[in-house]
Amino acid sequence: MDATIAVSEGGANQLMQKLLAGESISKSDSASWGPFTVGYNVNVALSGGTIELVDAPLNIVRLHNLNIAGNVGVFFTFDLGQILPKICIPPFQVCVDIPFIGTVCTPQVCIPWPPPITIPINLPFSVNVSADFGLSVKDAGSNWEVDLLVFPFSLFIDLSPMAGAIINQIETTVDGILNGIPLIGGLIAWLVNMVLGALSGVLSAILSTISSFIHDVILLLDLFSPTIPVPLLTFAKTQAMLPAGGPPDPEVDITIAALGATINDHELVATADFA
Amino acid sequence: MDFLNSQQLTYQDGYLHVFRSPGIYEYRILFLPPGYENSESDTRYTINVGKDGSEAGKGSQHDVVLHWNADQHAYLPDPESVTAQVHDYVLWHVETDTPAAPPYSIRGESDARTVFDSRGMGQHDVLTHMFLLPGEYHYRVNNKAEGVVLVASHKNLPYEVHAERASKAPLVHIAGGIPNPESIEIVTGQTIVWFVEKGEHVTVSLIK
Amino acid sequence: MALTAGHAAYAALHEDGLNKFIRNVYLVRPHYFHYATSLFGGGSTSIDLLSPIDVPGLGSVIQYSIAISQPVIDFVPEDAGSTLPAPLTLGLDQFSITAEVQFCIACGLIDKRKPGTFFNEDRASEWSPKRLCTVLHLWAVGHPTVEPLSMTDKLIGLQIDQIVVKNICDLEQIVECIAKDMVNALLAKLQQKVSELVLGAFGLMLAAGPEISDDQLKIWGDIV
Repeated sequence: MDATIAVSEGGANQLMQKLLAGESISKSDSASWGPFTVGYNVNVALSGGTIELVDAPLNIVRLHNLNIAGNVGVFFTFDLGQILPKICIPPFQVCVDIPFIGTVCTPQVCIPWPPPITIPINLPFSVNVSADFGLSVKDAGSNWEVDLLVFPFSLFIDLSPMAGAIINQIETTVDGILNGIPLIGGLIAWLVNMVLGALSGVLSAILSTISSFIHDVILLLDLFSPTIPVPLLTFAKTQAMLPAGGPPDPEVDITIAALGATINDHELVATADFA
Repeated sequence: MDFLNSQQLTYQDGYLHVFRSPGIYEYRILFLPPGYENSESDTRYTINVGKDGSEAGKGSQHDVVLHWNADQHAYLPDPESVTAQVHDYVLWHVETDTPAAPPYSIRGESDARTVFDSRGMGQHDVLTHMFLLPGEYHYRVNNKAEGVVLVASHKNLPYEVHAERASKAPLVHIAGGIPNPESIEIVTGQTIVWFVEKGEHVTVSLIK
Repeated sequence: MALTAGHAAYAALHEDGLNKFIRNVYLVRPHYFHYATSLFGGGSTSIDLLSPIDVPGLGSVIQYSIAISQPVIDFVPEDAGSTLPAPLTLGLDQFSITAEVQFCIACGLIDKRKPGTFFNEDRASEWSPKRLCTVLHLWAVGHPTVEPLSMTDKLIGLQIDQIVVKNICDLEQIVECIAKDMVNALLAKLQQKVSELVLGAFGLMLAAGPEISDDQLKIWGDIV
């Protein structure tokens, strides 16, 4: 044991915060439910949490109340023409007497629905989890690493409270479009309900799919990979103790030949042996 | 602003022709301007006009609804053939909610002689247009005399008031190429009816 | 809280680790430990150059060399095999350093022609130098030092306070004086940045130490 480095729980917390700052991810996907095509783009970042260091032989780094937060940008695309019936206006007959011809009844005009509408909606989410990590030392080529590897844990993302916000946004947008069409004032509320009724059948399935997607994206983070250890401490094997200073003064190194890591007295202790 | 041009009819328009003589009429649904008839589809539809009609001014209306068929790139009339009597009138209009269907015209012949053509309306032909967008529509008759239709938005009106106004279709007479009245005020959802009281080869188009 | 004692981090260099470092310095930068005048090879990359000693009235100079063996450092508590002589003792927060210094002179060499001095032309070609060497054993005791280096880093070092050199009788005091400065100059070259003491794993703001105890040089601080 030629050198010892110890980190308290508070110090380990600071190291963990740096690690978390580097853990973020973005991913997109889309799917269709009947006339509704939904695109969703997820951003996830990690922060916070407090570390508890559990002594050997367990050697567990326990992270309490880690905050997983982010935003999913959702795009609802739908074609009113696929949901609403053909509507021709006016809803009554208009006739006019024309001399030399007779009573002429003017034609109804059937409303072409606008092209598919895309409504963007932002759904923020935030969930706190606790996770345990095992400690190990890895020979990583030119470095020694003290790594963390997560133990399986449960994670549940629930977007169902956002259903109300989604419905409101779609209602407002469709209402605005329908208000541009003359002579259907009395019908607008009814037609908006037709859209919301079509949506209600699939909204919980949509939110469930997006929640699962967020869940899967979070587990793509290295920190939560059950197979990829994440370095908490990295030591270069070759340490430059005196930098080079011209021809008679080449660099003086020491080489860390072996590294050990354990948790003792709630401190993370790394011990190095020099060659 | 709406698209408004009697030479190129859209789903907002209607074209009417009165049949003063009995006989077999055949009409075509065209897309190109006059002179290009030989470049277009030769499909003809029949109107049989019998001689036992009412007197002038008391005929019956026959509606022909044109349905756009995207596969055939054609309007298909319903009914395919019309049976009418003298002094009856046929009103063509498009019933489709396909927004990008192209504008069209109607040209009819009898005994190999052109009898009516919506691209140049004859005496007692009628053009209808339902205005959907508000604005000041300045138009020309035969590229000469000017008229204007002032269209206000329906959004400020209570539904009952709007419906009451929309139940009336104001009539604009065209005689000698001059519209009367030359200025008219309506709200969106109302239809203007231009009646060619006297004239030949009449066109109504927006001034750009 | 054992090691970190209320701070975020703790780093300690054991005397074995420090002695391995000194071994590496000895191998890679031999000129820190070897000095000589030109006759004995001074001025090469492995041996620093010394000026010969002027001998008053002689009109000539003495060529000499100094070679320090690989020093060995002991942190308190004193190693079992330690040979610290009185009055040196290893107390709290102290280290000892011991080395052998080989001092050689070229005796009988007329090295330089000086103006106004006696010079026997006949004997100009005679030269019968004798290389006389003696080995001095050196022990010293000192304390750890810290100096600011930049806004966020410091230099940790060792400095001796007392020195004992044996085997040279009356010249002892003079040599001890010279030797003390010499050893401190050597130690100053071996200062380490705080960041190097945590082996580059993270940034450390020094809050307490350096302190020598339990055979280790210890520091404490906050992680940045």
